[in-house]
Amino acid sequence: MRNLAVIMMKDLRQRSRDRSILVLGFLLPLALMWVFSLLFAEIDDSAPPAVTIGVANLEQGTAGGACEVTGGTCLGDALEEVVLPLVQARIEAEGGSAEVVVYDAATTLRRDVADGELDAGIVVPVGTTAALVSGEAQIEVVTVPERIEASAITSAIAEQFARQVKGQAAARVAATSLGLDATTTAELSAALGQAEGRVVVDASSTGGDDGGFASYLAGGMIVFFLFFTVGFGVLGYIGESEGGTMPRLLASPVRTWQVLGAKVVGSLLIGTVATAVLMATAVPLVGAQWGNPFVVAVLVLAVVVAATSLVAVVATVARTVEQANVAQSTIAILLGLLGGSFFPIEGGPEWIGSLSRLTPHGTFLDALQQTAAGAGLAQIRPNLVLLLGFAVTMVAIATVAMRLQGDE
Amino acid sequence: MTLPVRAVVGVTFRRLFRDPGTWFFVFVFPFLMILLIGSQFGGEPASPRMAVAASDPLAEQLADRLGEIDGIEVVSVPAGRVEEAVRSGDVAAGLVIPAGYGDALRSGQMAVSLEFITRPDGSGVLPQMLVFPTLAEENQRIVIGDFLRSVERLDLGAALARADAALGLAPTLEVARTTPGEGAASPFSGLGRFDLGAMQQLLLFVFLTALASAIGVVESREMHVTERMLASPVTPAGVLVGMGLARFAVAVFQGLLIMGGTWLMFGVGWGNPIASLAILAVFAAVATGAAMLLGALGRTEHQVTAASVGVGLIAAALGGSMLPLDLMPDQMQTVAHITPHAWAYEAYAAVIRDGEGVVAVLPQLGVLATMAIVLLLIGGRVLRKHLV
Repeated sequence: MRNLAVIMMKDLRQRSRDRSILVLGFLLPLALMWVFSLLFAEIDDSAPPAVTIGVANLEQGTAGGACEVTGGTCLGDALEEVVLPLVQARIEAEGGSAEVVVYDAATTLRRDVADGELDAGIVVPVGTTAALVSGEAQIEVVTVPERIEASAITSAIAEQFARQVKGQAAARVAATSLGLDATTTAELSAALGQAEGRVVVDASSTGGDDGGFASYLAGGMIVFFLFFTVGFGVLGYIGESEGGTMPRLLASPVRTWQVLGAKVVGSLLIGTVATAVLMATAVPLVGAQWGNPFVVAVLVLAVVVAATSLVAVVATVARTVEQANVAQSTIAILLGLLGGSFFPIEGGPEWIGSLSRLTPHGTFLDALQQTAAGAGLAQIRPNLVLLLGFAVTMVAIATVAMRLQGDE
Repeated sequence: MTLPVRAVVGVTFRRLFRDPGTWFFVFVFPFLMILLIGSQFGGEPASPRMAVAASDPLAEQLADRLGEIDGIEVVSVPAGRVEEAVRSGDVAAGLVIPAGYGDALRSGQMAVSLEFITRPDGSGVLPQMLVFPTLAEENQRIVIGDFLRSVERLDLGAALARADAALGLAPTLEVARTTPGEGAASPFSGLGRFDLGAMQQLLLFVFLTALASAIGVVESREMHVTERMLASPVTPAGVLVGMGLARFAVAVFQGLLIMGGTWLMFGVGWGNPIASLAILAVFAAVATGAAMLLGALGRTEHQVTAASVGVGLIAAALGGSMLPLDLMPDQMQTVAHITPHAWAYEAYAAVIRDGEGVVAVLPQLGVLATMAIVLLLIGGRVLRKHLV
């Protein structure tokens, strides 16, 4: 036991002199996490919007008669004078800011959207209300794809407006066919104006309340880096073979298994510490919420074991440090790609998704989603079994490989 | 190319391809990329699937109406299995209409809650955009239906049928989305994550694997191969050009494979071929320059591995290859332009999204070419110091 500890400490000291562990295991992932925090700073769904919307109501001044079909109020006027102020008030009540700019001409509005003076705009052409009857009424939402928030808000305003127009029209149709009097019709119209509260949509994410794309990316990168970090312990095995220290080690009263064992334990240690630090840092940096700490800790241990076992195979099979490096990098990138560390694997044929979830990365990320949503050990048991099964398989392969190589 | 430089290129190729890793990354890896990128970001995105759990007639009516929406495929799933279906990626989103939906509506209950479940990776944005208008219309149907019920003493089912008829007869106000100067915009042109995903990953991996080839530069210094090359009638500049050209060719070849394969097998669109090739070539040149500089600066292979993975990923993240450039805060979009990825992203966005040609992206190509030249010059200077 003492031999194990001595070799492990020697290893760790040696590796830390190379500084690669520090860099690859901690600094670079941390830097990446910090970049994420900057990138995702504004993608906070709860942050109130700030937009400048233009409206070109070309129906302004149209004689009331032309707008009889909507009860005398032209659509453009309704949008400019009623709907937009309401939206503005609502956004401001949430702490955001919404500026509405009125335009006389559509061309000016479009130019200002293109120039960036406006975030987006709505154009109500002349005769829109009258065209309702012939089924050719159309309003135009002018957006620029890059201004995603403003585009979404403005489109939503226009679409909700269109829905209300349709609802009101339907009410009038129903009222006419039933021969309702004006008062009752007016009541129906009023009720429709508030028709947002009967059925509500409660949106939730499988990743828990604060699971977001940032957490997903962070998790993907953390597990990706793990498969590099654990290599530094085990690859030393080969380094020692090449550097000629191995024969000297083995000549000393140290058993082979103790040498290998020290490497393995070293890897486990480095991998666990690195992952734990990174996951903890991700919480304040990108707002990641991983779930119950105890459950997550067990999950992290399982994936570190899986990662270490894989690198053990590489260490056993590879002949030179260079080979091992390349093989390890290759496998790390391959598994990371397949497992969804870079982008989620969900579309396409089913077998790709299944294959993805069989990889350590894929099953780890899947489990993280569940724990973020509150899952306990019982729910992620299949994932844990998969990770440990992977480790056992790798160790078996490594053992067979060592036997085949004989005692060198 | 002069004879000695050609010889250097030849030597570099031979050394590169003696390493099994190179074989893998140049010939096998791109196919994996093609498979994954193609299936995930393939040209005609299959309509997203949505799981809907409905357990009474009125709920089923809503589910049917959702099923009629163009562009989304609705599958019926029991309420208890919806979340798992979403999480596993089987469906892009899930809607749970609560049991007793009909009764709740009949009793005039307010705020009946429908649960809409998506994954945190953004795949639920499109289904949400497609489905929410219909869910909003449900409110209208119910209000009109309620009204008709009270006026005509009908039951809810019949009243809703009348409401549907009225809504069917009511004139529709269309909403057209346009982009200034370009006419109609695709309704979902703001979903950067999907329509440019293939390009983002291409940039990430071409750069990453090009940087990884920097290991060879360190190696050849350690093994004194470069010294021996210099002993022959070739200038230090010639050695650098030779080493760089070989790596450049490999990077371009990889990129071409991925572009061609995803286009051929999965219908991924890359826009005007000449333009997209030009962008790839210049981007690969920057990647090669970065690799040469990294190889010149690095002292051990471990260092270079660490640096290439780290720098490669950080540059990719900063440059819009993970979170699309459009979705970044304005300040970060500006910062992003220190990376070649951001410039290539802009160029590709113009070519793929807007159908532009080479001329339109000359500015971006120019910047990328400048980056490549600067990197190669600096790398060359540093490497020469080591060699001479």
